[in-house]
Amino acid sequence: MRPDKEQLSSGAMTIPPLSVKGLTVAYDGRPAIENVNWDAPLTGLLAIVGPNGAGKSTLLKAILGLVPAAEGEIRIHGKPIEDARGDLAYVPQRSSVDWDFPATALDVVAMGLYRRIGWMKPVSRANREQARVHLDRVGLSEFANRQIGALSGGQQQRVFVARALAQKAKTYLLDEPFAGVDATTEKVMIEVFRSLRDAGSLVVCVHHDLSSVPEIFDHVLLLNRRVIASAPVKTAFTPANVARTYGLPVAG
Amino acid sequence: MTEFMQIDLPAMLTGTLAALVCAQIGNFLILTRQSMLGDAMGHVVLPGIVIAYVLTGLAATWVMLGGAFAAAMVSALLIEFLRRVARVEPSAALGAVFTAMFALGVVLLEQTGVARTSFDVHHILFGNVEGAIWPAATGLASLFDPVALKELPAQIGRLLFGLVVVSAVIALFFKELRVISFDPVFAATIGLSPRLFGTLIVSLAALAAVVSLEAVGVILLVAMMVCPPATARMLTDDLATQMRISIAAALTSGIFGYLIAAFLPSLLGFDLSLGAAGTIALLGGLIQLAAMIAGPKRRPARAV
Repeated sequence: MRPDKEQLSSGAMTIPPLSVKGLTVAYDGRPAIENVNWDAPLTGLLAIVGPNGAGKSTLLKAILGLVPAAEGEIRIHGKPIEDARGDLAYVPQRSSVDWDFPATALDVVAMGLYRRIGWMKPVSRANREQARVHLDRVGLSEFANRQIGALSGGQQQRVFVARALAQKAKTYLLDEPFAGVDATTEKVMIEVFRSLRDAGSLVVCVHHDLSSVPEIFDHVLLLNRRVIASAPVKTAFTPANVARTYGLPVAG
Repeated sequence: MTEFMQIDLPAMLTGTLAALVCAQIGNFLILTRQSMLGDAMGHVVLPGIVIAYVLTGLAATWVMLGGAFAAAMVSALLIEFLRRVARVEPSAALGAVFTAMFALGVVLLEQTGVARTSFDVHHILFGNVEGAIWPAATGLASLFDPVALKELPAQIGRLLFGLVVVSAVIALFFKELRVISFDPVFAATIGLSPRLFGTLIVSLAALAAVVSLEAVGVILLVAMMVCPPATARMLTDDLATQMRISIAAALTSGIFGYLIAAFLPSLLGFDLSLGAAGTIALLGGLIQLAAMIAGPKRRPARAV
């Protein structure tokens, strides 16, 4: 996406929301991603695509400071992660939490407010009303008091998205938000992500379904331990690049 | 009345306070699926208490707590070592460390002669709620008599200290503990350290174990930690309500468990005595059973 005149005139706006230089992350000495260099676009919907084990989730986790970088440098809006926690919202894979936990949909959305409420302060009634607004935005206001395990998979995913919205971040990182969700959830999420983009945010999704990349996303990062390509979908999402990413023979 | 004040009240207070302090931290142990950690803590603190006692010759609260914490920290390091360096499966690492530490404690107890003077192995295993007596009490007025109150068993002071610390930390960090227990990865992204809060939960479990150990014993400790919160989980889907119900369940089993142990056999004309610690734990288990049979929030087996 080409920055417009207004953005160019203001220096701060041209700092990429995510900037990764020479990043290597290793688990038990085995590199999951190697020497990744990547500047994310300023706004838009971006898919990180690659085969299993390509390091897609690892890249997100490294950006969030959840896994240490063996080498390289990561900047979020020009800052190290410690100073940028409020700029990022993260949606982990749905399978990563205990859905039997004694919490309602509203309780979980309110967790997105915790950082701004401040540590050691209770969640107020006003906070819960704020959380309700975000739950409403993903179409789940009538499920506010439902225990989270009693929601469908798609509804659980939307609760997570609402929690991310409550964080009021600049940049959103989501790990496979479209995996195994129903059509309604997919529609709601695309709509929410587009409105975030239109408000100037970058929304990054680890994504598995190659066929839906062009219709949902503006940008794509093709990753297989290294960056294969990173550009608008139109230019980067070519059969040749996809084949290279997945290690398939490149057709003539 | 005097007899009740001298014998039954302090014992009932001891059993109930132990049930309360254990139940509160127990909520977070069951939510983070580490119920056995409570059990482990009861076991690992034993050598710490014995060593601290032998080294200082004091049975003061801070000595016991210091020794117990040192032992808990050593155990936590050992478990981490076994898991990371020796690659032992986590539950096996926990099992190996806590039984070895407990065995060390038992050996130390016997070898140092402490067992014959200050600690009774039988009491450490099965608890001794009845050991708390208040000879200075002369009647209800003693409750307002500073001189008599000073003579309350030291154990009650330790339990009160533990209860205040555990309740205050949980109240202060309630929302942080909630998000860490539910979604530790997300919690880390908003700047909470799962490791720090993991240590906090372990430390509170260790504190609860130390102050309750004399009263309820190593074996029943885990029942005190697990039954009330597990009962409460069957009755509500709200964490704050779950905390409150678990406190009510702990109060009920503490008070009525003691009363049953002390008075039921003679009321029924039997010439036998029941151990209060065991009866409190048993009552806690029965309340849980009732909640499992009739509770509205029983979890059906659900496909994920």
